[in-house]
Amino acid sequence: MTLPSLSAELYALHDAKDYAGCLKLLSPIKIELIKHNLLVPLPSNTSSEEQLNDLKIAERILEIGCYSLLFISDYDSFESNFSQLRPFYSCRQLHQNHEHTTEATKIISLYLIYLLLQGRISRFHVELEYIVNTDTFDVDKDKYLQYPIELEKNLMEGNYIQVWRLLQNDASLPCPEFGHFKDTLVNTLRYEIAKSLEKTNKKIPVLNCKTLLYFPQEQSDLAFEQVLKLQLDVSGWEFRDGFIHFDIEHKNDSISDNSAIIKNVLCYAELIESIV
Amino acid sequence: MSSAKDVEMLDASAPAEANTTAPDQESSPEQPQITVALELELNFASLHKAAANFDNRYITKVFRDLGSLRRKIVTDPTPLASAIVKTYGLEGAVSLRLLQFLPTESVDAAKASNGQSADNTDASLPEINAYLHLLVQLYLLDTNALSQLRDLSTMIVALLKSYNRRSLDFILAKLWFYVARSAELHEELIALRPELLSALRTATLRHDDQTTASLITLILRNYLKSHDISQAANLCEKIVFPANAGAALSARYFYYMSFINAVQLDYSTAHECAIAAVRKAPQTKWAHGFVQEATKLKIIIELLMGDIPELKVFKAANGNFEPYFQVCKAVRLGDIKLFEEVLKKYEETFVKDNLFTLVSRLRQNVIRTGIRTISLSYSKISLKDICIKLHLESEEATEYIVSKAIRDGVIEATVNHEQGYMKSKELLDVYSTKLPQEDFDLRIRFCLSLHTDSVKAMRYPSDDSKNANSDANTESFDDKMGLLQALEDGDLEDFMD
Repeated sequence: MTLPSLSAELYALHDAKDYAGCLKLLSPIKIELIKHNLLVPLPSNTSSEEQLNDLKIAERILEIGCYSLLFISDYDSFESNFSQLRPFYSCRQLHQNHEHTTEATKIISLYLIYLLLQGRISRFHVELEYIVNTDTFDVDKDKYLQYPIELEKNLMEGNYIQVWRLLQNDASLPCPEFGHFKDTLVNTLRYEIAKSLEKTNKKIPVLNCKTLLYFPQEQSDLAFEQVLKLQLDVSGWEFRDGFIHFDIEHKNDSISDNSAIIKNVLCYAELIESIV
Repeated sequence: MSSAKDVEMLDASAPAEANTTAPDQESSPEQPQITVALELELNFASLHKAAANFDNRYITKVFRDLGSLRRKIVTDPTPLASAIVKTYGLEGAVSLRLLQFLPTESVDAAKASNGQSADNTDASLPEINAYLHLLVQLYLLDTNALSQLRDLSTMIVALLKSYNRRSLDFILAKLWFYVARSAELHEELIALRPELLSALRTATLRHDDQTTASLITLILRNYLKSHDISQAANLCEKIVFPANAGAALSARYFYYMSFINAVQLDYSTAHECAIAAVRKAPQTKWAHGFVQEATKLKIIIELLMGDIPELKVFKAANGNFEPYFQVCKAVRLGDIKLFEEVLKKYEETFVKDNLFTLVSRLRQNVIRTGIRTISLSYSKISLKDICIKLHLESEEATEYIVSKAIRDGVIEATVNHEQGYMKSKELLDVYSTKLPQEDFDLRIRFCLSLHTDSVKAMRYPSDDSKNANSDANTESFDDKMGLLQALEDGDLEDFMD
């Protein structure tokens, strides 16, 4: 099959939301792209208008690949597919200055949320540093990019109420694709809150705990306990007479650790005696 | 690493340059041409010695005077032209190649004065060839002839590949520096990368430390200029920065490392690197721009770590630290409103310094310092009061934020949810814990590594020069003193650009 017919088929499948079908087509299309030298934008294939148009189609194909992988939750492939897209996004000829809310920023934002979910905060910041400083994207005005940035800021600050609002309000989602991560994000949020709660409180009424963790009030206490034990790491929690007691471990640091001291002193001796 | 730094470094050096050139001309108004020509002759002699004795100290000596020589050549390139004519003759390939870059009138003058044929023995010496290329390169850079500079750069890259001599190492490092600088001025960063990387491989294989160090800093700068932090971080993982590289080069390397680590949230490593960068930076007026940049980075990293820099940091440094001082103030007071005002007011400065993302991360530190001050001053306080004091949006948000702070170990306290208050824990006696022991351990390790580093930093003359000295009078006393002097401050000139 030729490239135009393959890509037409891919577009059709994507519009019909047949993501598994899209993925089946993805590999043959990529092979065709390589044959036509279109998988990577290089100085040699970005000179004429025609080549740029071809590359834009290649970019669109990879974007569809990203969406499809995302929706069938194949995150590893999503990441590698995203790294194939990256050269397209940093190519100046393809992306002129200050584009607003394009597919590019949408995919980048999805990738950022994915990093956030994985807890890869340093990677998140590395990406952010690049995005903020390249003039291709206008971060302040881009509603897609603002979303993960806001999420990260509030998660780090501990302003969970704001995170909840961002997640809960479907209207505040910049696009339906972001909804894909919603459940995972809610779970991450509850986990974070639960960890903070067990460090700060000695005991807390079950009723209040439900509110704090954003569980529905009408849920029975028993069901609540089940869900907690299933989803969150609550091994130290004890449910007793309408209260949750947190098992605060009293770590006794005061015991002198003789073996550590001996180890240190030996290490100093070694350093002093060593020939530099 | 940012374009801002270039501007500042150039700014810092520009007035100074004007100052130094003026007295030079006044002190020797009679015939500056002869002195420059003489100087070039002397330098050639040094290069000969370096090549003959395999002693790079002579080259360091040549580079010590490079700065002043460079300024003299900008005002009048005739001596340089005549030196080229003298060395390579009128019709030699090298001289034809180099002379096309110099202004015709000085070339003509040089040709007129040196009509006779050249001394061809010199022509074979690659050191002099490379040195002349460097001088022409500097001339083009200083006279802002950028397109010509680009042509010369391509020639130099080809030339550099053809040599493999240890006595050339120092000159190669310098040549690469200006090749990269010229690519930067043309905004051809990405095109230069393959050249730099293959040169780095060659230099590493040849154990050419000076060039390796120089190339590493250039590549890092190249990556950081295009904000490609992940690439830069990957490179840092793979390479070993040569330990015996010049102080100026290591200062640069540490500055870049500090930035890379800070972006990746590894603040303690970043802080160590920032300190090393500030300490290793040469204490001359040429390096003011660099020291300023490094200090700014250091201040921000300290704030991110939860420390407050001392007031003397702002007072001692010259340069505009006002925005950073204001940020510090906001963090110290824990005043989120003030912080946001400062951020808005000085946004341009931070963006220009390439620190905006780092500064905006400080928001959470501002809130935390606020919570910490409150927890220190009140043993029990209602969440509502905290909310009002810190200008937070609601009581629920306050509870979450306070509990996150407790979880992260910012404060020692408990929250009572039903009655809505925060209660600080009694201060425990630190001497009953392991903390003093750990702190003490850190300090001992620091002292030991300082000692090791000082021993490592001492320089000893290499063996063959020792023999030469004992053979007596091969080097005159003056010569030796000059070399020692050059060793001491030879590196400094690096920072003029």
